[in-house]
Amino acid sequence: MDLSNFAANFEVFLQTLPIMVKGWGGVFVVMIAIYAIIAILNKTSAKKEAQN
Amino acid sequence: MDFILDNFAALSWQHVVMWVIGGVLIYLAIKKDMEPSLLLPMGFGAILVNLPFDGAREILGILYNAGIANELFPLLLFIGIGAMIDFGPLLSNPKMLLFGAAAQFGIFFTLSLASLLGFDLRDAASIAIIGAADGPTSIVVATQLGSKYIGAITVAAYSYMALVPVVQPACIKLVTTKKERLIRMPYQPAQVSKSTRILFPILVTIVAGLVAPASVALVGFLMFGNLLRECGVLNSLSETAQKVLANLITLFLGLCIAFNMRAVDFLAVETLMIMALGLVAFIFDTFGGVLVAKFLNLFMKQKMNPMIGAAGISAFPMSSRVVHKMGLKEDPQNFLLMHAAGANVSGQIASVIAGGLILALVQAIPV
Repeated sequence: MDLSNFAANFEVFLQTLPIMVKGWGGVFVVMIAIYAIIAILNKTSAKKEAQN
Repeated sequence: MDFILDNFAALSWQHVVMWVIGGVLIYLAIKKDMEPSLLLPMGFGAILVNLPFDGAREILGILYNAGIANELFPLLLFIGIGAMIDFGPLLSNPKMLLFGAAAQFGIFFTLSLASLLGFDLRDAASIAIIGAADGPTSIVVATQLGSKYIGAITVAAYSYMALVPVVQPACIKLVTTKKERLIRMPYQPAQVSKSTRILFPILVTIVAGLVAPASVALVGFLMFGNLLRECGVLNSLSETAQKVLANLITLFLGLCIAFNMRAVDFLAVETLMIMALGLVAFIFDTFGGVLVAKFLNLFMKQKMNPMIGAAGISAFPMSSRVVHKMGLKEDPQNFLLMHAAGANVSGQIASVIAGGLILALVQAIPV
């Protein structure tokens, strides 16, 4: 770790920006996919109960 | 008698400082009831490894290599955690998944901040994952990335998890108005069938495995534990996972983490910076969750209480209780617990996914 080497630190900082976008965005994508799974599961089981 | 004097001569002030730090962790565990199952063994372990001539280091090293270096202990602990979690509030109100995702913002913000402060990418990512508010995830990510700060990272992760009731209320008040905190949210849960509860952990594992393969071990073990709980035919295994397995692993985990708490590794400016960055991660997790809730409210007829967003942090069940208490304080008739619990358990899933994505994205960049 080197606080004084700002140029090198800034280069690493720039590397983290796409990670921030892809990472946080990726979490949302996965959670929305899980949301869809839950919605389908709930709908399917509601249909089965209505039929019964 | 000379050998006894030699032992005292080998004692340094750094050893004594680590005894004090170990003592503080033990005090926080016993007197303040802050995550005692982890802080007490870590505190005692910190004392053990900072006695002259490293008498306990070899055995702790064996345990560390057997369970931490290969990520075995945190993964086994996740089976127990999965068996403890009731995903019912989430399954009946799946909107809460969004807050689990939103409250992982602190991880990524801290990643950028840590890199700006001079940590290399892998160490920055290992520090940032403190924001996952999940001990096993922090240990797995820091170990896989080969971070040399795993001791400080684990102490920070577990300490801040215990400090959620102190950190979160102030952060929530900073970004919400009284009017927003008074928003009532009636709880009308959808019915959740047994088949949904059984299929949920299986399908989540498959989705996580396809989207974020690096997270599949964490997600898979968590969901396996949950499946043991929900299947209804393995009650004794579920109880064993929740109690015996979780307690046994926790017992060794804290001691093993202390293996990295030798004075020479721990007493450094970097440790203080990691503590500060860990706090930043928790603060921005809270901000992320609340601000996304406020953003969603712009498009919704039935407004949500934005405090629910803060419960998306993975510190279960503390975060949901904090939000519920804050809601009651503003309005004694406003019961937010079940909504907050849904966001809280969603945060457990989101934090693991975030850990897997961080691993995948950082490991793809050559050193």
